[in-house]
Amino acid sequence: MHTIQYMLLGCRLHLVGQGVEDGDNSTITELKQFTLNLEDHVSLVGDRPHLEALVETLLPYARHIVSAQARECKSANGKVSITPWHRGHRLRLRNENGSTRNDVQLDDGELANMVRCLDAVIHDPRFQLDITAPPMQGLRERELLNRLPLRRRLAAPLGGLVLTMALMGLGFLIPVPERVRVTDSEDRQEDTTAVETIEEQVIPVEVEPETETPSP
Amino acid sequence: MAVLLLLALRLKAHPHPESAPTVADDIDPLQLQQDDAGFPDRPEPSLVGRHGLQQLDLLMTTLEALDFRCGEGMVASLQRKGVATGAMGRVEFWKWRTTNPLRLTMRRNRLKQAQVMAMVALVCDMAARVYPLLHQLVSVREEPSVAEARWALLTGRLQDLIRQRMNPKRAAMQNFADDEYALAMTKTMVRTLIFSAGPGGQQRLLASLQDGMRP
Repeated sequence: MHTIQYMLLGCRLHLVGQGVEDGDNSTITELKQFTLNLEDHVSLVGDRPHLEALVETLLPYARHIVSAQARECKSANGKVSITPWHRGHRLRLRNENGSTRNDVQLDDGELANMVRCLDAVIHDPRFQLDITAPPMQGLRERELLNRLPLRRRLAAPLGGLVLTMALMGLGFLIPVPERVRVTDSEDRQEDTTAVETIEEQVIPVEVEPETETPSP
Repeated sequence: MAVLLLLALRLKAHPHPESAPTVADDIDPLQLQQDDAGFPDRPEPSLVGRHGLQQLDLLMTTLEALDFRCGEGMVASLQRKGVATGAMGRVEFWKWRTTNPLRLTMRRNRLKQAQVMAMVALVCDMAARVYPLLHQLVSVREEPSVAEARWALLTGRLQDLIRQRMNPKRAAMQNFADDEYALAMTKTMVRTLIFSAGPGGQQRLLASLQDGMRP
């Protein structure tokens, strides 16, 4: 059995597994157990699936904290979940049956220690297991809910709505020319007069032939 | 006719002229990409937006407020790493930082991707160096009165640095004059720094700087 230990302030992560012995550079290729101690008041013990679940949960959670958008994160196998809790965080660990096994309250400092220890494990060439950090991308605009206060978020659409209503109200104030209502009888009269005038125009006008004046 | 004669003469002079490359020719796409990349006027896609540049400079300012030696340390670290983006000095580093639109003297040039990556790595590296200080600030196990005094000291330093360097006409910077707002911003910055510390923090910090850039 080989062991690798990572220590950071009050956090200690101890890995035990099988691997290659090479003095200080002994590697672990198969993880048997890990123990995570936090300032001597929390001790987590688990195997490879638990470590994978911790990496899968805590690193994206920390990434959201960096964007000031802390939100609940759960591992795919449901073993680990973490959520913002009062001024800190609540880490919930479940056993194989899915029943709650352990609830741990963490402050930012303890969580940061854990995250840095997990980072160290992932980036350590001695730890030769295929556990990698999940890919991280920038959040979409609609995901940045709390970045802008509600007033500023609502200012633009409300302003637009008020402006549209005001313009519509002003539009109603502009006087419109009255429409002359034409009755059917008047229509007919107009039609007949039109026909008459056309007929009048058609009437040929007799022109008297000019009489040639005798030349002197 | 004269044109035809001239063409005939040219063909006689060069019986096997080299054919000019056409669109239909098989051109190595990789070669084409390399040529395009080398074209000086083609802008490189920006890695972070306006918000990212602001955030990066404010994080560096917070690091300087935490430890006054951080400014010199950042320049020394860049020189030591031998960044492949040109000769590195204090002035060059200042030019990078003045791409922050909130700066009093601001430059509109765009940072290259390598420069942004170097700055992100620098922030994470410096955050790892001052990690014990950051840990003291965010830990709830500290004595409340001592913690309050530490936060007040850090906020005061940050306000001073921002007053010296940032454009006071900007609303975001005017808000820093308010102690409550400044304290809240300082706490946000410190939280960002503590979770960005170390080599694993680079990925997290870069992703956060790209917030809002995805469609």
